[in-house]
Amino acid sequence: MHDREDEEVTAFVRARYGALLRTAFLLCGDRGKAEDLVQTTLAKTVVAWSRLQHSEGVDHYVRRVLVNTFVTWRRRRSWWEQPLGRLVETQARDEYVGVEQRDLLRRALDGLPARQRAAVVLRFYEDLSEQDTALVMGCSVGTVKSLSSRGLRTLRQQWVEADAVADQEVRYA
Amino acid sequence: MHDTTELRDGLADLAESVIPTTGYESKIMRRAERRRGRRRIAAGAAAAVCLAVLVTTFRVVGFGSTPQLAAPPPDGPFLSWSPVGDVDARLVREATGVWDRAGSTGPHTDVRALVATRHPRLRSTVVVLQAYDKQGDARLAFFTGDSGAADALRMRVDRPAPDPVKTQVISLVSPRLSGAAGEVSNDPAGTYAIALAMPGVTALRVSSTAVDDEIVQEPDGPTSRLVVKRLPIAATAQTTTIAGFVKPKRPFAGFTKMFEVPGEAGVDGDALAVPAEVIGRNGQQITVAFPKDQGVRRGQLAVVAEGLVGRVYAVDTVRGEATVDLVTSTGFSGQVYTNISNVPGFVRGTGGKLVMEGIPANGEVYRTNRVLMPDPSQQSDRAGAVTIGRAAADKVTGSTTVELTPAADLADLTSLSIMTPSTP
Repeated sequence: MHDREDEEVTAFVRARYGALLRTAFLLCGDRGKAEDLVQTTLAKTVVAWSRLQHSEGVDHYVRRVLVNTFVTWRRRRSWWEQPLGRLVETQARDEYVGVEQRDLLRRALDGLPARQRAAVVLRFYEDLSEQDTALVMGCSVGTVKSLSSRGLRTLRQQWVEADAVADQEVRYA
Repeated sequence: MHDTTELRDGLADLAESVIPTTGYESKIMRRAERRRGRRRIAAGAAAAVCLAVLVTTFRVVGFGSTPQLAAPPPDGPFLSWSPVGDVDARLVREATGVWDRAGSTGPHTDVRALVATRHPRLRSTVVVLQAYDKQGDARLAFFTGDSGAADALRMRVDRPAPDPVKTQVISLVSPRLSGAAGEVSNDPAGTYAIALAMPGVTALRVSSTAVDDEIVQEPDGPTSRLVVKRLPIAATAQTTTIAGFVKPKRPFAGFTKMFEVPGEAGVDGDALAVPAEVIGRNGQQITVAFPKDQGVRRGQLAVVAEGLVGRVYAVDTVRGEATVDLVTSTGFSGQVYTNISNVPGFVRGTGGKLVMEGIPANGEVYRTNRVLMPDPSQQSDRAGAVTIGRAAADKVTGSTTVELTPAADLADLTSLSIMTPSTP
């Protein structure tokens, strides 16, 4: 019985790890934190696995845990602390435009509050409907609309500012 | 980024660069195991806290073990109970003198007072003493004042001292406690019940089935260990019940009934109750067994606390058995009157029912009115009259009969008392 359950859990973890890691990366903006977030989320799912078998929507549950854990972590002071045991190196801007665009988007996402960021990622990366996003985030559809709208506005603003700075740097280089 | 399509593409492009490293499965399983362990510890701690809270609540709020009445060590053959209230030494001396002069058992020695006070309910003095008589036997006596002789003390009963270990309450119920010795009170509510409980009893309750619509409930507060209650003149020891309660000293703890016993009689002139066990039933009669040489005679009433069972029809003194006609039997009849309104009449059994007849046409009898039958063993039609039943319906104007509902449960009889005169 336990062996069979273990097999199911392992299969589920393997199947969903990659996709969850990418979503977590968009939420955290850091690969190490994204791995930590996904592993914590899946560990919680494994503990609740027997209970989840009797209900539908394991994926929905996992997304919800992921977002809730991310929002909770962001509230902690430790989220903002960086280990200083190693040299902090900032990644140099890529000379290729595509890489630059990714860098700009990542910086813009980093500037969003946790819930706005979660709403944007769920709506425009996971392609969830407003209703599903509301279910995952545990809030109303109206709140999702509001968070998404504000998130998009902030992203656009930061994108435009970053573009302008980049243009100036190129112009005066 | 001017539209959401660009954003979607950008996000997909950004996420695409993330590729899982190997070995994540074991990390996740280890984390899950640690989480399970923490959950178990938390659940155990929560259960321990809940248990501690429950135990504390039970101890504080009043659940838990049943309270016990711990009897104080006996004082030789006497009750070693502490006196109730202030003991008036003058009253003790006066009562001892009365006791010594009351019979040939005096002088009394080693007198111990349980009560020696003036009681507002009795509007007189109450004294309860224990002492050795001149033969060295331990005795217990009750004294009350004579309202017709400037409250001079009269000895009402002189009994052997009760078992000092098992006794929880002593009592005296009689309509002869307020006047001269042996004299029945003229007051319609002239029967008094005096009850004295052992130390540790928080509340003492005296109730009587002779009281109409008495609300018998758990006590709502502590009482004295000494209770004096005024009852209708028809009340006797057999219709009186004394209950003792204990309330632990814990917040919200309720009263627990520790004992419930019938009242005790024994005043000169009171009818004597002979205990009898029901040993047979034959249609409309029952057969009872009683201790021999107790003065049981034909025509005496058989009663239980709730009221009249029937009348003794035949007595076998050799075997100590008697046949009793139930009140609903065709052989049963007698004079009765309604309580308080005193409407007279006769009752007779019809072989299954009980009917009151011969009621004056203008007499008013209403449903649930209590109907009493005088006890021939009493020296008065009023004192100790036994409830035979209650009117089952309002008497129709002009009618002379009404059906009664018997007061005693005739279908479920195991023991009863036969009322005999104080002097055979």
